[in-house]
Amino acid sequence: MRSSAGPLLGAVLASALTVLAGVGLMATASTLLATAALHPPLYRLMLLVTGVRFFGTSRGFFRYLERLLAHDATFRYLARLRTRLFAALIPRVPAAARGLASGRLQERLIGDVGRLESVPVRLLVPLGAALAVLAAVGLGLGRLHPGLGAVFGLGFLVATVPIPALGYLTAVRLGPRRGALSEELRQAAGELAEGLPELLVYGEAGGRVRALGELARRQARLERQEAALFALGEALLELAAGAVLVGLFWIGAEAIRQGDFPARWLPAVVLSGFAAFEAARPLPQAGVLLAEAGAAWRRIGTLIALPDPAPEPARPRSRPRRHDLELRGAWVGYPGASEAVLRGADLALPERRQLWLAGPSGSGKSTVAWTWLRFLLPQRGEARLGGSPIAALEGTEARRALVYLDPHPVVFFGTVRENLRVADPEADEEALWRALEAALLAERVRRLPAGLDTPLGPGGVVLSGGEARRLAIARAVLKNAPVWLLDEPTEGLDGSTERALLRRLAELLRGRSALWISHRPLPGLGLPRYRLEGGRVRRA
Amino acid sequence: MRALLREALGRPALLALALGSPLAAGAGAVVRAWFLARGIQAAFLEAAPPADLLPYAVGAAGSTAVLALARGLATAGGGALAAEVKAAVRQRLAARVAAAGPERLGEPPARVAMALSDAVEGLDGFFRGYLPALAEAAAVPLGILVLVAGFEPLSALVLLVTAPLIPLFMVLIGRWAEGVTARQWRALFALGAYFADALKGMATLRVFGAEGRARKTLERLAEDHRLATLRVLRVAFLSALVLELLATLSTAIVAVEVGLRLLAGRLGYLEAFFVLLLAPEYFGPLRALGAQFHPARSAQDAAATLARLNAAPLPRPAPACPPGTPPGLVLQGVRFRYPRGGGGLEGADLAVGPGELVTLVGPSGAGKSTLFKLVLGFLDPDAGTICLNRRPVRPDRFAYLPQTPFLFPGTLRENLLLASPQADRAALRRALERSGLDEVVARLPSGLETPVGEGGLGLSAGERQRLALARAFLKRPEAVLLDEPTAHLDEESEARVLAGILALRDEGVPVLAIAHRPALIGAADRVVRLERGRRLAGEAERAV
Ligand SMILES: Nc1ncnc2c1ncn2[C@@H]1O[C@H](COP(=O)(O)OP(=O)(O)O)[C@@H](O)[C@H]1O
Ligand SMILES: Nc1ncnc2c1ncn2[C@@H]1O[C@H](COP(=O)(O)OP(=O)(O)O)[C@@H](O)[C@H]1O
Ligand SMILES: [Mg+2]
Repeated sequence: MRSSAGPLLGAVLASALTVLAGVGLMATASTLLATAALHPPLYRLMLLVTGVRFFGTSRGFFRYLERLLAHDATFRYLARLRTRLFAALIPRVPAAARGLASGRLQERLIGDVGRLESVPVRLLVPLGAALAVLAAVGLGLGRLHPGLGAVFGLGFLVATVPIPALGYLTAVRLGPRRGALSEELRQAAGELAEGLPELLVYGEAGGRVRALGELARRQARLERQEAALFALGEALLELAAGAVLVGLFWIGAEAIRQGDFPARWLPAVVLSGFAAFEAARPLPQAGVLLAEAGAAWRRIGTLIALPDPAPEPARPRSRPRRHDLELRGAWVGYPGASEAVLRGADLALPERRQLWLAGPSGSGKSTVAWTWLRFLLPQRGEARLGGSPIAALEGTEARRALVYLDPHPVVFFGTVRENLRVADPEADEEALWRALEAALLAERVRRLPAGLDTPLGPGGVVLSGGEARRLAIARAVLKNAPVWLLDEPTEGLDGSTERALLRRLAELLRGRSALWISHRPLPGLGLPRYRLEGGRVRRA
Repeated sequence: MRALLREALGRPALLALALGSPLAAGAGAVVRAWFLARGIQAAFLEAAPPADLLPYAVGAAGSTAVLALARGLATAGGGALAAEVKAAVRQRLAARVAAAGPERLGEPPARVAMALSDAVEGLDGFFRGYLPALAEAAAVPLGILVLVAGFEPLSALVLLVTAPLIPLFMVLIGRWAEGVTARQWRALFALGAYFADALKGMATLRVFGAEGRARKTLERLAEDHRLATLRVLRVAFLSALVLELLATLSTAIVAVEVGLRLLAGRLGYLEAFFVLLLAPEYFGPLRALGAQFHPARSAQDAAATLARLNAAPLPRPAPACPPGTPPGLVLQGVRFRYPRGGGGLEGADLAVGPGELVTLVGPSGAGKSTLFKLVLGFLDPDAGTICLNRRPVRPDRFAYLPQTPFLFPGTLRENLLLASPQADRAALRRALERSGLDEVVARLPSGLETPVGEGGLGLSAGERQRLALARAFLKRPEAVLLDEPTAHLDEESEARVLAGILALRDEGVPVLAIAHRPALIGAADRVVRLERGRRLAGEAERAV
């Protein structure tokens, strides 16, 4: 992955040069006028005219460079951030950070990545450029007269430190309240819209509308406060710029009286200091961003710091040849949860045998499958694969003999082909179609506009729940594993689809081991039934 | 857009602040430029002593104070205006949504929720940024132009000629760049979507040992996206170059032009320098307006969505019930046709007497759900009357179990008490028993205090169903509508729910249920079949 340091530095430089070109333009232009006022011969002005033209044109080029480099830096940074984050999350999803697999936690994570993404363009580049301009103009003015350098430096420092700090503090103080409030508002809006039939029937709609209105008014009050604080920052920035302007004028006038530098430089001195303030204008917003990015960074940090629920063994055993699965008095719980889900559970799935694991939802059926998949490890007791403790195997090795059907089958953003090749990147055309035939999906895929190369998901073809499940089955078929763990394979299917799919799965699984997880009966399979309740399994 | 402006006009003080302060700031900047020009002239050409310079320094400082105050007020005023308008728009939209009910809005609930939160938020930039910038761009450059024309017509001409180019180019380039970058946004979207999917499908990826490959794909997508985007941006950012060039070159042209005329003695120094100081103040607001182009566009889109929802029809007043209508739920000659698609009901007659359980059967698309929506008053019949106990229907007279019941985030108890806030413990217990929810509650360590809904315990479809049933049982309604009450239930639970429904019927409440499963159909007093021809037939088809 490419480092973003180079483009970032370039962007800072280009941004500073953009401002400095503006400074140069005002300085040469005002010197041009001051010189012309003394009515010298025309050729004395030519150099200044050239200077004015040079700065007038170069500024655009610097701005162009800055935008391009800053975006390059952003993209590089974003790529790095995403991949690093992803790599850090791999062992933690799904067992440690279940919320990431769906819903709000994921939304928040993606929002946080977005907030961090603008850090280079909106925080680092303006800050770096401001410091560069401060140094360049401050030193330049200071060399003419120390007082000029001091006035400029002081005014500019006020604009670069306390004023952004005000923005930062405002965001730190009000930001969380504002975030919480807009979250509440989003929730209230969702409840009103999605629960409207219930609310109308139970006579609660009016109350919810009033509550939403109250939230909206509270948000408005907070936003007014926020705007007032930002306004204060803006006014202070304007005051600092004006103070520098007047200060430079006063000290400069005194300096030319002393003969420290030629009188016709006075306008340039005053205007260059003033024009340099352009670099300070984005800073109050940068303070706000700093606060937001800091919060986002902390949230991501806690996610990455979640304990690994199944650390890899230091000296892994080689993969066992057999693949019977076992739980022996296994206690399995989730990090952060007070009580274990499996409390001394025993269950055996010998080779080429199949069984049905029933039990109310939340009893821990999926947890059994996840333990065998080595997504998490027993705290007490043992989980075994082919006679070896699973804890002593490498995760990828342990999973080689297993295939798992998720209760919520996932369709990845990409084509049908890419979705299938998750299971086997080398699978050829024929193997893909065979898998689709096996999963009763070939007919449907043939009818798609681009066959295997049809994009799925938003912007492409959206599969129905039953079709997505068949896609997942096709994937599983491609892996051709001897052990199948089927987690609620009929969830969300209507009666006739359910029966057809079960028949097909039974055919496919002949001669393999299978754990059928379902809280509902699985008609027509006639499997031995086990029931999970109270953290233990018993034969039913 | 007009509706938005009306909203702003309703707050004249804030509007005046948001629009007037930028003008005051512009005036402050012009006055300061004059004091500065005059002061520098005095110091440089007249070598005036400090005492003579003092008035100019004080003048520049004073006008700076005005300028700073005005800038602050502009920010505060714009922010306050945006905040107030958004709150008002939100409140009005929420009221409209509730008054129109779920079926007349013409948008799926998720979109309505988005409108209430995100679309309203999209108005922010219009009031906070665009409107003040528009006022400033409309007035300040014009004022400066008139001022300059008064003492230096030639420079005024240069300013006049270059000014319109800036917003013009900004809009042209903005439009063009928007199209070009839209394609890149899609690429970025693909990248984001892949990231989200890979997180969501992590278990699947790991099962197939594909997590490392996914990581590489992510890396490759990001790099592809970066290269492709930069290729486009190299062209798109030419806009930044052109704009910068226009503004700075115009200033440069003015500077050279006044410089040469100053040299030729056709212009005084004060005038020439003053014009130079005014040039950035002249172009500044125009550039600032161009930067607001995008927020203004997205606010326009948001406003269109909001206007559409705010125009959703309200329930029509129902005709009075004909004399002699029997008690219970009675539909007479009810016709309805969806404006789009032509589906609906043709001439439905149906009566469910007090203490009667009627099940509605029929193939999917026959109009069963449509009939429920009409009975609940979520839709208005084109003809016919729907009466409950001889009065026109209203949603709050029913208990209703929708096909996918909604769980409000909160505890189980809160979800139940929604139906009847004052329900006592006995009533609560009875509702729990009848729905079979008591079994579910008994399994939970925190019982009724267990949080459910988003962020709470994920209930299974069957558990949701039982919770919603308990809610329906808890209310003492005049009639009950159940849409497949025994879907998702195992046989044991189904039997309990059925017993609960029959107990309710035996208390004299009319019950109308949509059913597919044989147990519920068998328990009904009467089965009514809704045919594909959308005609209600077999009024007295007996249960077997
Ligand atoms: N990643 C997780 N973190 C914390 N708790 C979890 C996690 N995944 C599941 N649980 C909890 O573990 C219990 C068992 O869940 P699960 O195995 O999914 O049950 P089942 O498959 O029987 O419905 C539930 O109470 C659930 O809330
Ligand atoms: N919001 C709608 N807009 C247009 N047509 C609709 C709408 N809802 C349902 N329909 C149509 O009305 C007919 C009856 O639908 P519905 O009442 O949902 O049937 P059922 O509940 O019996 O399956 C169908 O042809 C359906 O396509
Ligand atoms: Mg499960």
